Amino acid sequence: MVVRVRVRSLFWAVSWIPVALAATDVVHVSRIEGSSMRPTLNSSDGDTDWVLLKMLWPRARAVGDIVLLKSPFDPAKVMCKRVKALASDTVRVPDGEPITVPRGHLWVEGDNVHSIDSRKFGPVSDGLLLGKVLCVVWPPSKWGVDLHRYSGRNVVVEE
Amino acid sequence: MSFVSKLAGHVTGQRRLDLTTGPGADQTGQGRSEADRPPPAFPPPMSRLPSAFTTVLKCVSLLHVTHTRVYEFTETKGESMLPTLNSHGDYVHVSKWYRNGRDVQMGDCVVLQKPNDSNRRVCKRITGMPGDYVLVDPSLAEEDTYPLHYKDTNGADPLDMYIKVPRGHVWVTGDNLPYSLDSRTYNVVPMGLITGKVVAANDMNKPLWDEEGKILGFRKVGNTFVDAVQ
Repeated sequence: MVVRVRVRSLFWAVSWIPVALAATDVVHVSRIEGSSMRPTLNSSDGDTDWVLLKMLWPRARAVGDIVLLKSPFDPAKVMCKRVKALASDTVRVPDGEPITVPRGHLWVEGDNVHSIDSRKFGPVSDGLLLGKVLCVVWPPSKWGVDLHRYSGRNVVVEE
Repeated sequence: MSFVSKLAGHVTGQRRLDLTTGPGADQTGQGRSEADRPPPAFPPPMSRLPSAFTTVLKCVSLLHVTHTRVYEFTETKGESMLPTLNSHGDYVHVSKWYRNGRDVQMGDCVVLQKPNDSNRRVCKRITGMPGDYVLVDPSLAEEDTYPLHYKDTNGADPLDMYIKVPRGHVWVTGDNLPYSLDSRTYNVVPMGLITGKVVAANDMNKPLWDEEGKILGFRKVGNTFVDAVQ
């Protein structure tokens, strides 16, 4: 009898695993590593910010959103950048002619100038997007911080 | 005995049981355990709602998790993979183990998001792995019908040149080269856009069970790469 109850409760617990996995495709909490989004995230050395992400429909986005995306050169690596320009926008690059972002692509940059982003590898396909950062959940001192306060350089060439 | 009277008999029998062993017995008898108490004959319908909700939630979640991480069975359309896959009526079995380009090899047939339109998925074959040099396709330049054929500003022909596939990218082409929009137009594709590998296919236009015993034209879709150097 006890064994049967244990098996049932085990089965009950296992049946919730897909729900938990599917929930991570809706919202997700993730740790930010590296300094590429400084000063907005990981403001100083030794800081590790945790952020709440919206994973559902990552393709609905706008200029200024902070997004998580797969690195184009290593799909196992995830980067956190800010969307700086959408498809068909013309972008000022640090050296060279302005580039027009192709269809289905985004221009992403970190707020830190020392960031490996579209300045280095060009526009990225928006299929690589994983989610959008909604807010900082940890540490508590950064609760309610305005993610759009420092948004790096202005890249879009106005016509 | 009709169904209704059977039902009525069952219900009245249940009630009679309730009366004899239920509340009356509990009031007088001592030491009666919880298990001996009969279950309520008519559970209120509202009490079943949360259970139905969680069941639906679990089923939808299981389907979603299976579809994104384990296996998918989906329709394919278009001429670009002829003769491996038909232009209509074909359904493919996709293994999601190979998503994000995990363990993919030269010659594998993969499903990927279109780099310039991520809402659409395409099925192509990998014809260049990271580090390989690929000749784009000068045969397209000879036919003047190729819509995207243009010359560079300095006279270079983008179709008649070698491209080195960068780290973390693949070169993909359709099996039906003249009727395929692939890496020859949108260049190398990051492996992060690969959602799975086609392992088998069914043809819904075929009979359910043909003379050879194949169900709906089932066949495996394998790796077609032949290493000519060896």
